[in-house]
Amino acid sequence: MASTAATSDAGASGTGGHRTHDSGMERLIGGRRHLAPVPGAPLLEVTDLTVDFPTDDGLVHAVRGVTFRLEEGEVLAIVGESGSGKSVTSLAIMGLLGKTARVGGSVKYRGIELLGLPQKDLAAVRGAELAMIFQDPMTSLNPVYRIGWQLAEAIRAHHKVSKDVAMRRSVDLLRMVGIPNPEERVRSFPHEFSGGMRQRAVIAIAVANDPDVIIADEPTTALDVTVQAQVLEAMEEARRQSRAGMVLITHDLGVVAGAADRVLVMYAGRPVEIGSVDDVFYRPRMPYTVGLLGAMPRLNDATGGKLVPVEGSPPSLINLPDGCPFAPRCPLAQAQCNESEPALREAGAGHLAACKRLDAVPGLVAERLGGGAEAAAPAGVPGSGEEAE
Amino acid sequence: MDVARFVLRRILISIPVLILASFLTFIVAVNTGDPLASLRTNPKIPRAVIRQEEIRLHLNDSTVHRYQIWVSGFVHGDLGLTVQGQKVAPELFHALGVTVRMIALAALLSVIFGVIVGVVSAVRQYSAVDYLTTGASFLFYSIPVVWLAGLLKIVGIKVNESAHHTYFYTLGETTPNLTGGFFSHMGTTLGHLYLPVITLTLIEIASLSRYQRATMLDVLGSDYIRLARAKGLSPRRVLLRHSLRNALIPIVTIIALDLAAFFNGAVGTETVFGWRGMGLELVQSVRSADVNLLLGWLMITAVIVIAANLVADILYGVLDPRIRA
Amino acid sequence: MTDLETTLAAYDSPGTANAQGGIPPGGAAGPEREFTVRARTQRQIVVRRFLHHRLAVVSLVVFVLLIAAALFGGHLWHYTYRQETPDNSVRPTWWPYFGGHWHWGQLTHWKHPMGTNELGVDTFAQVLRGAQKSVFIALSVAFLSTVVGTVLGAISGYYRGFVDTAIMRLTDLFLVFPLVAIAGAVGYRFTASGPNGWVYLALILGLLSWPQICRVVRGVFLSLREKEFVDAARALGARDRRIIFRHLLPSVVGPVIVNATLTVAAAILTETVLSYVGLGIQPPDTSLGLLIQLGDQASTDRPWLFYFPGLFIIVICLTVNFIGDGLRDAFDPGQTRVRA
Repeated sequence: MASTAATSDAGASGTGGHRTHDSGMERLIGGRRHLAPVPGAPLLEVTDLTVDFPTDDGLVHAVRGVTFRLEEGEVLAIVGESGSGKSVTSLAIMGLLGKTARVGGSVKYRGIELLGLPQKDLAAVRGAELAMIFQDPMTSLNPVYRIGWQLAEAIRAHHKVSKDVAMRRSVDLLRMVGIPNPEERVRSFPHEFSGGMRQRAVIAIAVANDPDVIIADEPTTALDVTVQAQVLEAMEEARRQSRAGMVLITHDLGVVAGAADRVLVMYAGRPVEIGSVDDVFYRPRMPYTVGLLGAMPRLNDATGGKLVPVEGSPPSLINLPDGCPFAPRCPLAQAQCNESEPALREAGAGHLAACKRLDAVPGLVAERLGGGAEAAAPAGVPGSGEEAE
Repeated sequence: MDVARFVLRRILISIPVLILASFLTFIVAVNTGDPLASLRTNPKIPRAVIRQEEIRLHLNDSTVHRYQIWVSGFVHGDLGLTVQGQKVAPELFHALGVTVRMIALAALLSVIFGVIVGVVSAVRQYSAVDYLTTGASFLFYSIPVVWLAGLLKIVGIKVNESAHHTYFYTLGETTPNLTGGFFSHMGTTLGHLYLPVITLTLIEIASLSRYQRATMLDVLGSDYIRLARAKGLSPRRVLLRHSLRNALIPIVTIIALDLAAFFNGAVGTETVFGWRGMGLELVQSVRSADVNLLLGWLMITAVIVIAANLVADILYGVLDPRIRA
Repeated sequence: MTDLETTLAAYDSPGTANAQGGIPPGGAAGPEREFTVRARTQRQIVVRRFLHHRLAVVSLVVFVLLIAAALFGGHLWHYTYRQETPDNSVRPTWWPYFGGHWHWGQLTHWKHPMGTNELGVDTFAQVLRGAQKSVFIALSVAFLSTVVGTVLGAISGYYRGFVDTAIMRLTDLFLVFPLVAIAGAVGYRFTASGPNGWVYLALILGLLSWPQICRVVRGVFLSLREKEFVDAARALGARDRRIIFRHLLPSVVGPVIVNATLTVAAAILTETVLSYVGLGIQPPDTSLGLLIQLGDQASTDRPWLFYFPGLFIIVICLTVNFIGDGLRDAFDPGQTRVRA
């Protein structure tokens, strides 16, 4: 069973329903002896991830200790404002940050430590095991190569198949992500595609090698609202077929409600709340999450349709305060909040929140989100109904 | 088909530019001065001779009329006569041959080394190599071409002296009255070429490598390179098939645009090394107010630069699918 | 930055607007910038960044000293550039290369620190005079080409249409001819006409050097024209002139200043070639290019006549280019597009 991925012609079969390691059987990644998955290890385990960037103004602490686990086939959403460290986290996991970035902590894929892995080994993992969908489809594709060529290249990077086979698989992939007329469209250049189509192509590239983890960094932010739902659907379809786990980074809570199993809320480079979608949406225990929910438009609104923005702006990540970084904007802040930064605490089964006043939060929820927790349920969200589990 | 139409369009755009260029250069050329100034101040020359010369050179005709005469000759490939009465075309084309030998070699070398230096310093950004090449390119970008040529001349003479052998010829583009076979000619021809070509190449590498470095850095930081890496391509493939492929496109235009700069440098370099090329022709035509010679000079270089830009545009279109659309 | 922040920044901001909207190079630069939150005025930021560029700051100091020497040094120095002293062909012996050895105490060194020519004219006085001319020319050229280029570029980018096409074809035309040839051809009868030849040379070079700046300004205008803040200003009833001067021009200040700096260096180098080949400054006046030409003729016997004017040019151009580099970084750290 060793190096199944390299020898099988999964590429030609097209539908991508082909799995090789559900049984947890031993195999090597890219045929590399030292890249052997540890049996029983979680799919993706990020522990105390930190990322610093040196700048003229000082060291920017972009990510300050992110810890989470992703299980097989699970969708974990990471939400937060711009600059909360979501994107940097995803790039750090993929090892795609620039040379100046200082990355610490641990990122384990099936028990294999990815941080500090040589570029060649990383190349064997990327695309094949961990794939990524980027934010801006307009610039994500190489302008000088045809779409089909770029897809086939991704396939041939991990599978020893002929160009012809790779191209036929590319056509199937484009069809899967909903590009009409894929036989002709493989011959198009990126500039001949619309934004939504390009993002579909990027999604096709991401799932080309049947990865186990897909990291989607704000995949619909740069798209027109009308296209967003379609692209999300294409992504969900692609994910379902490859049965991959997914880290979905977004600031659109509607997307989260529709697509995710669990949610991680980030603020100022740290996770401040993590739990199931239900927990976080209906029983938030961190005032920042409450603020985010209050700022989200809802149809069945009990508070009279008013959106409540989170006042103030996030702190500078160069000189962080000693206490809770959210305290200056927090309606519940007290003197103790400025003393030290709160750690994540148990707020329920599988539900963690970083707040010193955990017990006071439900009151805030009642006040801000109109009493009944149900009111916080997002509505009118693309694709929400069918997916919520 | 697609490309053919694109090429045709580019050629059609170039023609009005060329026509306008010819008229403007004509205005410039007829205003450089009086070609008979020395005759007029010489008391021994009879007035009738001067009158005759004026008629021969059309000095008293209107500018438009003179332009018409010149254009009708130009379309037949006739660039007219110099003040001394020689044919302009053969003289200029001989000079052009001399100059192009130098420019072509320098352009080739500077493109090769400029691209390599630029790419390496971008890939190894902030390394010792990067700082070194950046420093060197700043230096060569700040050196007057004539001074560098003079410096290399001094160095060349020193080398020749200490080696008791003439490796570097520092005067003229060829050695007159050479005897011997082809290969001995070859050696001396190269000996004449070394120093001027090195001068031009060093100066041009400086700007080309800076440009290539910046372009490469832009590409390396682009989203599509990040996606290429995320696809799991080998670092080598990302570098060659994606980064380099994209970073080489803009340099095509830059080389074509720099051709005019090459002629600037060539004029200086040739003068320092005493070549009888385009540089000398330019200086002579201006100093003796030789309308036809100057016009011919400017038009020949203009045609070359326009043609190079045309080729660059077409090449750009071939290399970058976005332009063709 | 959000769209709104970008828009706001462009409002009060010389030169932030990253005109190309390009992704900053270096994978990390994107995320890094997202986090800079502390508020400073644009000018403070630019000055701060420039001061951070140590080489540029040193260059600025050296450049100012050189300019001061070029402008006033000739009046203070104990010889004039034409004065024939009794010391013929004095070697600058403080430098071993010129056949001397280190004798810092000898007075003759400081009498003629750069030696003299065959007539006993002090080279240092000549270099000061030449530098004065070269610097005058370079600064005038930079000023003139910047004004012309910015105005034409602004018109071209703002009004577009026929005007734009006409101006762009004109720049195409200007870039077709080698600058040395066209400047030499146009300028020779003026430069050869008398003692004020250098003024004409500066004028002509200035009127020929604007296309580069014109294109830069036009590019910025074209991209900013469509931005929301321009629409907003127009919706509020602002006239074209107000939009151009209050909203758009501040955004090109950075690129224009950088370009002007680089034009200074380019003009000095062009003047050098022109004067060397005999189409620029004519004797009895002098310039650094002319001095190099005279020095080159004597380079076997009196090499110092050749070396010093050239070194002077190199130092001027090098400092100017470093200043330009520092300014570019200061105005737009994300954009490393160089045509140094």
